[in-house]
Amino acid sequence: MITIPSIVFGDIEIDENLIYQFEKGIPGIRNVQRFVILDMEDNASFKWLQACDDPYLTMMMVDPSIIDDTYQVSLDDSQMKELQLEDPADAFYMAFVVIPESPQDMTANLLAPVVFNFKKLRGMQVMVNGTPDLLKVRVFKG
Amino acid sequence: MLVFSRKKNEGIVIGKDVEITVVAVGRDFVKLGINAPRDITIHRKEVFLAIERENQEATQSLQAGKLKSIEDWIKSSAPKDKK
Repeated sequence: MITIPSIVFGDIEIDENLIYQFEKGIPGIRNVQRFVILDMEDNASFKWLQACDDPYLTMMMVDPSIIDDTYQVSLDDSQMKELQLEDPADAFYMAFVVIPESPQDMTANLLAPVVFNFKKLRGMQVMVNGTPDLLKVRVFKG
Repeated sequence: MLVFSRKKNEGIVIGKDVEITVVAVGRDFVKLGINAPRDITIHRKEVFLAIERENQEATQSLQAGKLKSIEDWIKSSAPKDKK
């Protein structure tokens, strides 16, 4: 176990074999490559992504299928290679969430989902084909 | 950066599969046609910049004091995983 400092969560004890490597980092974010996924109590559709080497860097993620149950991501060969992904079944997808003042107005970025290879512990953000309005899709309708 | 001069209906080929053709030229724009395999994603550059901004916003969404109210809200209102 190792300890990861986080401003949001305090010190987190984490199995170092559960650290995801983002080889190319995340666009627009300081060059940070190691992240852990933290589960949310009682709800498997929401998770947190905490940078291992920057306590200030925590993001919320949501399973895109709860927003659009037809949502699909196709990866090209170079993305599969970078993720060391041999079997697409070894991957799961999450979308970054932006939370404005009121949590009910939170939006998910379905244009650029994050792919995790849970077998090889690799992650990367990819882009899907779609219109720019997919950048901010309401998580809760109405 | 590699720079080409192309006229209307002329194009360039990138690798084996990607072909870009100048479809129309206006006073302050060019219209491009792109032939590429389906698995290659093509976006306007401003969309890439918007994704960077969106990622930055996502990192700024979780000030320490907000966590509890967000979690509470999700507990009470969010749809559960259907799996």
